[in-house]
Amino acid sequence: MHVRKAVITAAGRGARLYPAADTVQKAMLPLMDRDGLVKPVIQIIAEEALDSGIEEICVICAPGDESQYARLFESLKTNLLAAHRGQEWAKLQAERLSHLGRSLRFVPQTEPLGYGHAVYCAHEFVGDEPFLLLLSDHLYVSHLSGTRCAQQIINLATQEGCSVAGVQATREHLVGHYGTVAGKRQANVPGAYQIERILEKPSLSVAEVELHTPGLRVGHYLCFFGMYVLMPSIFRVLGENVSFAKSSGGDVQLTTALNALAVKERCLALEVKGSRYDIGAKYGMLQTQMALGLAGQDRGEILTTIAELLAESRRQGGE
Amino acid sequence: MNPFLETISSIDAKTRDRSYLSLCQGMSASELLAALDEVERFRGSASNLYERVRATLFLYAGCRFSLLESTDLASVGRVPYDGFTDLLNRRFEEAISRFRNALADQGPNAAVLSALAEAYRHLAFQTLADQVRRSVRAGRGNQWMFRVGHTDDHPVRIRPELLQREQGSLLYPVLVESTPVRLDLSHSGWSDIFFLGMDYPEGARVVNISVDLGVYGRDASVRPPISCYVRVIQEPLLRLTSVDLNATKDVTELSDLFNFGNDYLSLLKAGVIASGLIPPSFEGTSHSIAEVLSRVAGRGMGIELVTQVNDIPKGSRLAVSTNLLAGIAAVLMRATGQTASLEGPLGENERRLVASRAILGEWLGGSGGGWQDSGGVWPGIKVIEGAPATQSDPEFGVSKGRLLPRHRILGADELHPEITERLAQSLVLVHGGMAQNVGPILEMVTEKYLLRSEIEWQARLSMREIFDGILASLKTGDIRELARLTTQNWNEPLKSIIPWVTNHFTETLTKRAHKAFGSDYWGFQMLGGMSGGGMAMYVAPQQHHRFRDEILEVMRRTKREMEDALPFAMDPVVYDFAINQVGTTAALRQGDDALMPSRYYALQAPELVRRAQETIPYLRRAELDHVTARSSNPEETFGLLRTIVSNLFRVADPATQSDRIEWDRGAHQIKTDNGFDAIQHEQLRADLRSGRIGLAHNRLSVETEIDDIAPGDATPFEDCDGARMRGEAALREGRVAVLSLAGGVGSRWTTGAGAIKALNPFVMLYGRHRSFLEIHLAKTRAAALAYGASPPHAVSTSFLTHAPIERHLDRASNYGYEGPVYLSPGRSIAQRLVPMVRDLMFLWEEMPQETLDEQKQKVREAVRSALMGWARTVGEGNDYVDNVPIQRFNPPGHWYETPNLLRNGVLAGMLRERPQLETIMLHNIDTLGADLDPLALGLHLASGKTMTFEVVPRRIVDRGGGLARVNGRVRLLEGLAQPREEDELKLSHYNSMTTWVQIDQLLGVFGLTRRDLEGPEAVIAEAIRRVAQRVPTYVTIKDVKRRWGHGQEDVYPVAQFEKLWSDMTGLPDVACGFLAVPRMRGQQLKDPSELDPWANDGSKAYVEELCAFT
Repeated sequence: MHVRKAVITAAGRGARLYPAADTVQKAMLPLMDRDGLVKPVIQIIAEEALDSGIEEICVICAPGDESQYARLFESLKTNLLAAHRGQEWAKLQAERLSHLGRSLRFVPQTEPLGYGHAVYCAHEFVGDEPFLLLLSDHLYVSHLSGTRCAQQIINLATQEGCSVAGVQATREHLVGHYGTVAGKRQANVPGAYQIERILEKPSLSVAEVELHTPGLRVGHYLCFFGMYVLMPSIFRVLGENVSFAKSSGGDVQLTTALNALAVKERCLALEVKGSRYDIGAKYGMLQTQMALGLAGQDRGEILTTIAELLAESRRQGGE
Repeated sequence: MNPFLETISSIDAKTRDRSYLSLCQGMSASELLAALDEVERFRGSASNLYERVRATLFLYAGCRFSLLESTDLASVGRVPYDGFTDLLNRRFEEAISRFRNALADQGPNAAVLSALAEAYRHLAFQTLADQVRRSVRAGRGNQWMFRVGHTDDHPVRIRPELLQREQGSLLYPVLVESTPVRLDLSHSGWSDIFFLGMDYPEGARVVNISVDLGVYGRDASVRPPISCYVRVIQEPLLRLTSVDLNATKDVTELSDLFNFGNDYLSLLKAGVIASGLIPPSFEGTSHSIAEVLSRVAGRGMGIELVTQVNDIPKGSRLAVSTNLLAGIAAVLMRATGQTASLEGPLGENERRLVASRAILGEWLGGSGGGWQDSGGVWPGIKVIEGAPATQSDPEFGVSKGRLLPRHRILGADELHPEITERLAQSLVLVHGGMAQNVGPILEMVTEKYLLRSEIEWQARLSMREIFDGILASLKTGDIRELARLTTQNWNEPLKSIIPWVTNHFTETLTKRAHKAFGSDYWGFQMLGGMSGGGMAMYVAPQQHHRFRDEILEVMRRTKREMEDALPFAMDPVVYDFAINQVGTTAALRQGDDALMPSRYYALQAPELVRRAQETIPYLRRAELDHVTARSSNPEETFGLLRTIVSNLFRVADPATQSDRIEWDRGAHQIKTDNGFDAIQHEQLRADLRSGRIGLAHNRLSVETEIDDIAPGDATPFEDCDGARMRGEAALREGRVAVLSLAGGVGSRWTTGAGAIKALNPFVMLYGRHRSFLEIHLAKTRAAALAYGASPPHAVSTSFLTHAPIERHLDRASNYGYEGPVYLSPGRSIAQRLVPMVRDLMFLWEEMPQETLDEQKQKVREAVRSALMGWARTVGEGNDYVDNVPIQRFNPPGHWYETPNLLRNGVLAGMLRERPQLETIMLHNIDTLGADLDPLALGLHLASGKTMTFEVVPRRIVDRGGGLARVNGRVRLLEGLAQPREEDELKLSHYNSMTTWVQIDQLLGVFGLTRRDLEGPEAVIAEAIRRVAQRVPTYVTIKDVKRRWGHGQEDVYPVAQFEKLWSDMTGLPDVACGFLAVPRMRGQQLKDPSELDPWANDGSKAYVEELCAFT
């Protein structure tokens, strides 16, 4: 099995990032990556995939955004070279943008029928292959040097020949924000669990009753990491759900489909050795930026800045 | 092998289920002691909970029922004080080791064994209670609530639907949860007690029906009796309102939320906490409620909870309070997104979670319940059964069963298609009105089951067959068969397991119902822990309507006949009911309909009207305006208006006012009739307020030397010098009379309910319920039959007891006693006072007290601090007047009861009729073993003393004083007068109060002769006053009940003055002797929880033997 395609969902309105996201797609907001280059968020995500061996990427976007993305990528490249003529880093970034442009395809989500529907929109692009699924507003920093987070998931999926969802042991008070998984540890596969049950944003009370996973630290649950390798069979389930939603209303959730898939075939969850950052959360952009900075070449500079800021705030606080 | 250990650890059910009694049969005391030593060693090393508990209970039973009654062991000994304080403070293991050391030092003796038995018993129950608590906490879905400690970690959020106001409406939506109550159709022998379900899950099964209720004759229709309303408010606080209890409060501090004793809202608070809205782990943290609510509902927002139980009276045995807790938990869990749906019924997992939250709430609030009680959460008719603990349960490896049972809703294939209608046409639900405390019964059951006592175990097995029969009759729709089975259940297994489940009231009711309806009366069914409150009867469908009216009348009549003798909390009622097919369900009210129940506004409006307008949030004002403008029901609006006016202008509610005037008139009458001494009362009040008298001053000075008696100080109960013959002669010659002291009501017996202990038919003897008084007369009758001359039997009474005792004796023709019976009415009365806070503090903080289980202790402390606040507010030392007249006064102590006999002419009359009368045996009403024993009498006569007091070997339950050498002089020391608590345990003998009195010598003490008894009362009164002055007056604190609402009761501590008879032994000029009698002769029955051990340790048989009933 070879995973060579990826899907990034980016159709959300980005309401949490108002007002910036009001004028530009949130996936185009800039962050300085670990290599010192300032990139749009989507590029950082796409590079996560490309560095993990992905060859083609499909971005599911809001209707009308596909041309804008293409235009933005083109103008970014042109403006970059024009404004920073002769600069080595600009040339490097421009090359990357062209490579990215060649790898990316944009597919609009024509109806707002939920996250599951957004994924379903990629079914023609994916065809009959396993694929990597990523979110456009989550960035990742791996704790395994030389192995990206996406790579860890792809490795397991390739090894076991089944769908794998990235998960992270999450403190209990946060389970209400995430899809949460109950599973059984897999012998001989460190960090992997056979998925038994998935609930979308459960209350903690429900999680305790239904999503207990033995072997985790007390008060921790396996919550989705926002990164999956899925077998193409997911589209059959999603397809059924989409038809049902169109006829009787309601949303199509990926969680529901994954739950159904886990009943039919083996699905694993992998505790990814890495951290996830949600740029849409409160102070999310800031936190993500700091995390990228601390994981990259400017680590020393960032640490100094943080120390100065702390000292300053202590003085301002009179203490 | 040690038979106990073999039983405990056997894997064979037959061996494991052997009863304690079968194991110890034929063992001598020393063999048993040796065997129990091994059990004790096993107990120390056993890691399995149930092995440990069973071992502990075997140890308890061995000490309590075998060794304690063994004649081979010493009857007196000394309980070490440090062990005693360990016991009080719930350090049971320490107490056990100290008591065992004492046994090793002193040799086996009944005093220490009684203490050891008590410690084992407490330890067993504590171990079980701890396990339930652990299971509640460890239950999935509850665990997080004990971990979250910071608002930032608090995981619940209010559902957005509740924050969304309908277009154009000011009102936030109101989420209303409607919850039925549960009816236990099978009563499977209390098998729903948590411990029992966990010990023997396969034996724990009930058929449980969810029902809607109405009160017959009051409510137009039936509905789910429990409604809980929740909404968000724009104030950062928790507003709690109980419409039924007329209580509302804005809770702004966490400490207030976790205080279960300072208001009537403890159940609501427990529900809020158990729902996870503000979980238990927040107790004691530094957060404010505003912070927590800001996290949950948004900045500046709060939550309002209103509950209403449709005025269903307390004690309905339909688990109203557990289902109310479940309703609160459900509505708040929905509101905070802990359930999938906001409206409609709940899913199975959610129901289970709600049930476990209700259990948690009960544990928090210090109340108790069984695992089937939250049955109202589920719909229809279901079987609830114990479930074995599996690997995924927290109970696995600890107990056999899970804490939470399995619920199986019965489907169409298990129920007759017309079952709902047929039940409705035959089953009649009633509340007999009795006030009950089922706590002791549940403990008795647990103890018996875990000891596998033979009779109870067989009864329990027979219940399984009855249960299957009940299920079958539901399938065939044969209600008559169902009634036969529930009646059989009641008459056979239930009564043989716990004889105390029935009472004279219930037995009379069923007899009368049977008499009135003949074969159309189909049967009886007990609900809950005991009968007398909520109960059910079955009747032929064509008689259903007539039966409801008639049974109501019968209950009312029977209650009127018995209310002096049995504790009633309210007038009987009949319920209308219907099976609820939905279970707990919720609906969201929006827009103009988003209102609270109308009585909520009547409760809120007066308080708001009094406040300055600008201090009331606009939303509250606007809502009130909306309610009055919208209401289409003029009566409702008028009621609201009346409430506002009467509160605004401070005109008291005319109805209450008339009650109060009536009470005051009655109280005045009592004072006049009983010669209330206002001058003396004012003097005592001044002394009390100034601190010259009080609880601390009851004590003798600290320098007083208190020692145990020496050999020879008390006469042994052995025949010598023809004492028995001498006594027999006196009896034959009619020289002896009996005086039963019945001036007090026995407040501990009925926990201050006002029923008269002497008349309380508490035990079934020879096929009928018999009262204390009846038993005493039966003993006198036995003496009359044995010796020919019928001894005169006098009963001293007081304003509290005289008329009822007279009525009962009259109605029962002196219970068949053919000899002369006299009533000796009290001649004095004292007004109860609001206690001084310093006395309350002394009682609650300085005196040794039994600490309760952790959560109950917290509740008790909160209640006590509220009661001290009450005393301060009402005025310390003021007359206690906020109660019915009879509860405002007390007879001023039993010292007066003998002198009254002189003063009221009764003794004069007795002597006129029987001049040869020389001796009176006086005894307490609860000393059931006291009789005209010729040996005791002969020993007294031989001693030549004025009075001989009977004393018994002390056991741990005997609290308060005893026979002592006080500064070298032998006398009875009252517990109130002990300078140091530890002195009590030095005293090997306890006062039974039974006293043999030589009439002429006693008259001499008062400076009177027989002739003076005929003379002017003033002379006698003066003589009594002179002696009374030499006897100390004690200040005591008693609990009195105050009733209100629908069967609600509050208990208040009041101060009263008393003089006690035993202090006669302190007068140097009165020649007193002491007779050490066997324990069964002198022990007193003070508390209903002592009934079962009393029945099982041979005491009941002993008393039965003494009686000659007609």
